[in-house]
Amino acid sequence: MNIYKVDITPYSVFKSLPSAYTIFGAISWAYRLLYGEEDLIKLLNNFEQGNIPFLISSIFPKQDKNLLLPKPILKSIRKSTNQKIDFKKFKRINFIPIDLFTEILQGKIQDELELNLKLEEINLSTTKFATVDNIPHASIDRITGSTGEGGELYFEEIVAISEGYFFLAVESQEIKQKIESSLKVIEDIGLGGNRSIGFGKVKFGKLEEIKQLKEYFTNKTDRFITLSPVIPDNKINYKESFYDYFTFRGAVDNNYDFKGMDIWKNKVFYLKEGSQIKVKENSNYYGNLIKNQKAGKNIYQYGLAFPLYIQGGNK
Amino acid sequence: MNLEFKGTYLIKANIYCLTGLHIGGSKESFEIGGIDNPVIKTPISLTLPDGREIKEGIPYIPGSSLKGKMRSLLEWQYKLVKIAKDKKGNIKSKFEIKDPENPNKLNDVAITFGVGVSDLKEVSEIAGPVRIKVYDAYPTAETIKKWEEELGAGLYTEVKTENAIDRITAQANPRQQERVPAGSEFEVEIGYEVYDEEDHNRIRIIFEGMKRVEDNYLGGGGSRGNGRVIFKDIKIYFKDRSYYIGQSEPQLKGEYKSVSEALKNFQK
Repeated sequence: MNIYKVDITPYSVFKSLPSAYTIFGAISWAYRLLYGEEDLIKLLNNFEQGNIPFLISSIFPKQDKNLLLPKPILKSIRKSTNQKIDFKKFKRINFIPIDLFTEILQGKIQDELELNLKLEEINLSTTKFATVDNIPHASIDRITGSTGEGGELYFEEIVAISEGYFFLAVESQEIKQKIESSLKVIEDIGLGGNRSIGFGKVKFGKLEEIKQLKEYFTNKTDRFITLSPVIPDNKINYKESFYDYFTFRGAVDNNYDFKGMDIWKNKVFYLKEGSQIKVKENSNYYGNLIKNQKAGKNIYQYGLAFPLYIQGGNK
Repeated sequence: MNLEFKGTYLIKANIYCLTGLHIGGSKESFEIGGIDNPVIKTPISLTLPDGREIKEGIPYIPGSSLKGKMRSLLEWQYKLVKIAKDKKGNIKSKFEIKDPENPNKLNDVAITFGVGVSDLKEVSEIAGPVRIKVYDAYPTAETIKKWEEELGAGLYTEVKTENAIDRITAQANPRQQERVPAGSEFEVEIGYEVYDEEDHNRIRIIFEGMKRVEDNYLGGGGSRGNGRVIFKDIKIYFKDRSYYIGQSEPQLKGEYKSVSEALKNFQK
């Protein structure tokens, strides 16, 4: 698999923070619009059979031209140090530069304290990637034509994100081209919810191969940091992993096949991006793509890891 | 539903404010001397594809305001507003999703602007995806420059004072309202997805909606003179399916000075 960076420039707000599973869903629908249902089913069957055609990371911010990655969750240890560390300040840092991230992947930084000492050296400012806001909506009363008498004012929480990027690992040139075309469709149909009122308008950059990370993606060891939320599977050794988690219940896009239906997906448990995962056994993929039946059709919930392996671990 | 995605139209136009425009925003803090009725402003700064720098706190027209107003006016135009009473005897309105001339079919407003989940059970015809996407409209580069030069750096709005006069004592009770000044221009972009051959002419309804907005108002305080707008410099592009797989470029389907001119291109 080759790894590509895809720049994403948002031109409007989002209904919720787009994650790897949001992009996966959007690509699947766009793929379906362009190449038909049969082709999409073939693609998804490949995932089910373990022949992973592509992997997606979540969206991360950039600082000027520098790529930032989620601050990894490292082992927390206590040891005395002569240096003064502002732990509170570092707690607020969610993203770190790619160069520092690769030092962790090389095994040069192994615990939280070493990372904090390094952060103290580089004097990194906190990057605010997402802004949550409440915007008012006024519903127009059909009879009075007014938002006052009979109409209604209500507020909706929205998320605005700054310019960012995500990684895409693809198995073949054919899949790469098809995903590029699907991204073009997403530019015109939007990403996430509330698209008909202009939410989720984005522009994607050209796919740029990222050679800097390729060795960490291909040289597999028994420990990796995930760049996408992971639905846990039985190949993970939880005792020796360092992770944060959240639960999520997504909605099915009911603009196409599920028209007129209000379908919620099952609530799933995700390990957050930046989690450091120790594996029990080697596999060509980690995490899960959950399949459910709703309204006579298959519904998928994406939770495959985008792994960057920490070198120096057991191969 | 057998989906057949045929492509997307992109309608680009400038919306020109003939009078001050007030699209209400949220009031985050109660500042002493602050305005009670602020306009909606961008929550974050962004750079648009054409290079326009939109700072945080600049007024814009949300896609939902334009889409909602167009839809509301079109519902009345096509006699799709039904008035009924609920169980308690309160008067309620309802959107009629059927085509008045052909009750087995959905009307163009429903197909273009979308229908509620519960309403769809009334017809057998499949609506397909919502066709319209009305994007947020940001001010033109000239307008931002004009605001900064004429209102001052960091100021993009005017404050209009209105009065409520007590009928008995004739005492004035002033209130303030923030508005985007007349003469401001915003760039509107409307996307429209095509799923069946009828969609190519059904797009007409968007221009009808724009025309109705011109003779009505956008935002709040319309009966007191706010929100009178016109659309100008309209361009219609079409990207067919081959564009997305890298085999063609977007085609310019037409350029029009006004909505009326654009409407002449579609059959009624």
